[in-house]
Amino acid sequence: MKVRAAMPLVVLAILLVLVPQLWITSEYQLDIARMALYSACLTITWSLLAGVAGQFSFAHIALAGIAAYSGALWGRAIPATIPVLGNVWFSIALGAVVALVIGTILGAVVLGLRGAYLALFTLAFGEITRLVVIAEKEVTGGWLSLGIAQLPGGPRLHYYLMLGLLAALLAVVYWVIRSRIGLFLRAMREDSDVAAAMGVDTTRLKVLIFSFTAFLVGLCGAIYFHTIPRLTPGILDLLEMGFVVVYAVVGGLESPIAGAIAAAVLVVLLEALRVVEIGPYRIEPGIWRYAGFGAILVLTLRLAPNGIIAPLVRWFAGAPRRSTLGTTGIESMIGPIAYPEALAKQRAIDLRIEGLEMHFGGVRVLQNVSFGLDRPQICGLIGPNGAGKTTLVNLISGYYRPAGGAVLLGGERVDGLRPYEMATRGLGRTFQITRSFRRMTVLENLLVPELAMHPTEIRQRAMERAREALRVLGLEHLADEHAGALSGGQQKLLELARLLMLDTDILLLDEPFAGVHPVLKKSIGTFVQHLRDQGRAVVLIEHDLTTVFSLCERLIVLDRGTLIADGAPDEVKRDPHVIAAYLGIHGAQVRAGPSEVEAEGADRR
Amino acid sequence: MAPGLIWLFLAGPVWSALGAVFLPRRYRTQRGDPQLAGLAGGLWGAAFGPFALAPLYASVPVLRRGLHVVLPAVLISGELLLLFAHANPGNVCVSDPLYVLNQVQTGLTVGLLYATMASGLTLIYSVQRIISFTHGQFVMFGGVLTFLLLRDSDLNPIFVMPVVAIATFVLGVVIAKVLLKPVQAGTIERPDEYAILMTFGVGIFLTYALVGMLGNPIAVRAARYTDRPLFGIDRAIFEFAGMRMRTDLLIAGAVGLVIFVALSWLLYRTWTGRSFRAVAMDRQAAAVVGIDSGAVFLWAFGIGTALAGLAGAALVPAFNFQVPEMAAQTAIRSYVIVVLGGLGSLRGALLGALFLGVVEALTAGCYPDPSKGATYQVASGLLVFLVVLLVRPQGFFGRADT
Repeated sequence: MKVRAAMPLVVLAILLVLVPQLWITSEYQLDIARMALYSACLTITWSLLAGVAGQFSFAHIALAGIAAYSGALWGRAIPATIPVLGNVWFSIALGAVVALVIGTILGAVVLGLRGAYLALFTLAFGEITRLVVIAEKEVTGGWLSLGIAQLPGGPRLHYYLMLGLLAALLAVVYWVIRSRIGLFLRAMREDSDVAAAMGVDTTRLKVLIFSFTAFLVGLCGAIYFHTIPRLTPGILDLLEMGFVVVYAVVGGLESPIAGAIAAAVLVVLLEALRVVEIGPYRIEPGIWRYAGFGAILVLTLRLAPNGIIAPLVRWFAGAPRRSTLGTTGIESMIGPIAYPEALAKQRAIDLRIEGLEMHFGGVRVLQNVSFGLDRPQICGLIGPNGAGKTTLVNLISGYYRPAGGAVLLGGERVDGLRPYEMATRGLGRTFQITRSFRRMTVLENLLVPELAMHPTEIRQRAMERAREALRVLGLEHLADEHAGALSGGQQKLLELARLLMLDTDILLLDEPFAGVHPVLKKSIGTFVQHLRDQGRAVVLIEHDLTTVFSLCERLIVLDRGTLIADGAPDEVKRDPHVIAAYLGIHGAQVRAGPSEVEAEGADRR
Repeated sequence: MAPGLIWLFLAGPVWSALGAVFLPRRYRTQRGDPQLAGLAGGLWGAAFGPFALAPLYASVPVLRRGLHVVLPAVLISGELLLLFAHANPGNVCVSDPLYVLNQVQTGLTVGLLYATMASGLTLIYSVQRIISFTHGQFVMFGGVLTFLLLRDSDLNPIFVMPVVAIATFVLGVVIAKVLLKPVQAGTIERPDEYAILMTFGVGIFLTYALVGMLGNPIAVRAARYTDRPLFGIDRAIFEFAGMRMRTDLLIAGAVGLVIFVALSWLLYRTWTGRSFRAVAMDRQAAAVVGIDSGAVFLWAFGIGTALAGLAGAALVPAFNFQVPEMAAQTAIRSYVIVVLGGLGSLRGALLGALFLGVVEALTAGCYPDPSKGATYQVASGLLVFLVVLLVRPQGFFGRADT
């Protein structure tokens, strides 16, 4: 880390260490300081889960509470005189493990859920945890509260304990964020489908991040509440969750340290506003302070969606200001495409599709589709809208399960495998609508497939390869820009660069030329030819027949879910079925049936 | 009988897992559509273990939803009930069928109110694809407003409803216009996250603004419908064919039904409603034919909010409620219902609400420890939630694309 970035952190750490010596005059103030540190811990872990990984779980506080209650109950059941098992630290560890187990189960249950569904379910989970704790008062004490064993040492020591925990947590969380896992988490947040296409096992990653943050928050909860004499169901209140959300948003969702700072500041502020005296007036805002917190959240989101503290942190850390993107002419943007031979390798191509069937509800989208790829080639996949082209790509690349038939890769059944497994087995794809990891830099976009495909590769080497791919596609000068800031054409190129990193033998390109400037179109065409020359097989969906005939040495034609032609372009061009499908003889007009709608819908998800 | 039954239930989950894993594999190689096979295997495994799985595995029949999903699900419910009856022979739900029937009709009546609440959520979702995390607070807002209006006047609760509806409608429109505009206009990077956080923030604000106005977290008892009789209806209890119904509850249910019918009329019989549905189906196509999706969003959010407020206004004269607990609990109910029925489906919201109403009433009335019934009443919703998510995440009337 640069000195300039480290300095404020060091100063902050020294100040926090000195807090009890310099400013604090009563034990009560020490309690508040400790609570501020605890809130910072909660916010850091939630930032990792919601901000970095994009999983908006409202069960966070409930997990901390579950850990605290588990530890407390264990401590009450086992006499402290028993060695190890009766130790307070054992209770704490147990609490954290219980949180880990429940968090893992929760992660597995919500696996198929995204965004709002996830938030709904976890909110309900948290609230019901609270209700059960209140109802089962024989066990938990209910509102009468539950005594809990105390960590040794006084409030001052407990303050330093929480401070140490905070420091350790920051170190762990930032280590994760900077590791390849952190990169994958952000990719999953940006676009889970694309991350899977780039070889990231999003299923495992999602459960992993739920387990991991559950363990961390459980640990924090168990430690903190072992310094508080009694547990009440109030610690599970939705308002507590609301506080964490406020801290994280005011800090800046993607920055755990900013969230931590916001938490500490706001906790102290909340306490300071208990009684406000302005001149002769004395106001006790009481419950209105909480309403104020809601207002802070709303206003921050509306006026500063990236948070208030995070930009300041970035400024302190001396992050380079992003250059504004020049709108240069398209030729200079692309530059000459040059291909390093280093990227070429020996490839064996063997993909067979046998009798593939698919239906959505009652609509048969694909019927008995069979073809094979056994050598390097550019194979056009054409057909009217709604013919089932995108569905076919989704089936082959593992996004759908076929209703019948088989996909064989290298002689092995691969239908039913998940998308990331298809990628790691050598089958890559692009999406009809360009999808990049928008809030990640161009370079990071390329590191995702590189590191997913080569788990043991060192970062330095991966960066070199990524820069090489960027140079090939003329995106080198944009390496540190956010992908979301790129133009449509540049995003197309980025997508191709990602495929280069993925380095699979077979590529399924879903309309790579759609909405692209003619000059760029030509470059992409050359690029696709080069991919073939390197020994890859490319399946290309394209509507513009001129492009198709100029590039492809083989054409597959789909119509209404059946394969009506497969062969050299010249033969296919004369095939009466194809002519009928394209020119509308026998009333077979270009249709946009439900199948196409479904396929596009699935593509957008 | 009893040990056999219990044995079956201990082994049930194991057989269920076996069926869910192995039957799809079998179907994959034989007939296709392993998805349904997984469901059928899981359910039949849970219901009858090897006795059901073995014939399926051997003969690989063509699977039908009715025979292989609904039937075993019903059978499992039946077995669970038998098990429950066996474990709690003294329970009033076991010994008194009339009591059960009474709980069911109470549940259905309450369900009508839940339907009002949930249809607001589903309406907002269908137009903008966002879920309002303020919905419970809107219900509570309607409830508190009704309580205050009734306290300061001697009107029948029904007559304050229009005021509540207008107030919550305006509140909803203002929130949509000022705070949710970026979602509608598409000017922000992550509209889903923004909508979740924003509505959650508004919820915190509204909750504690209401608590602040009332002074403290409190239990509230508003004037009942029968306290201020309309058409001379002042009997507290209605008896019919051996069933006892609280008049207040019946009136509340009737109000819920009227609101729901009015909403259906609005959506399916008026041009305003048709424009809502057009935007819900395809925003761009709706724009092409001249529908202003921004205005539709404002209207939908306003009406959805007003429905929540009305639900609160109808609930309060029939039940005591607690501020701020009411918000989270009603919100959870709405979420369970819309997920159960399928987000965006009005019919689903109604059926889901009736179902949840019955489940809750039975849980509250039959839970072995009556003092905890009220708590597990809400918790039973989570169980329903969980089952729906595992079995059919798009709900029972939703579209597969959600």
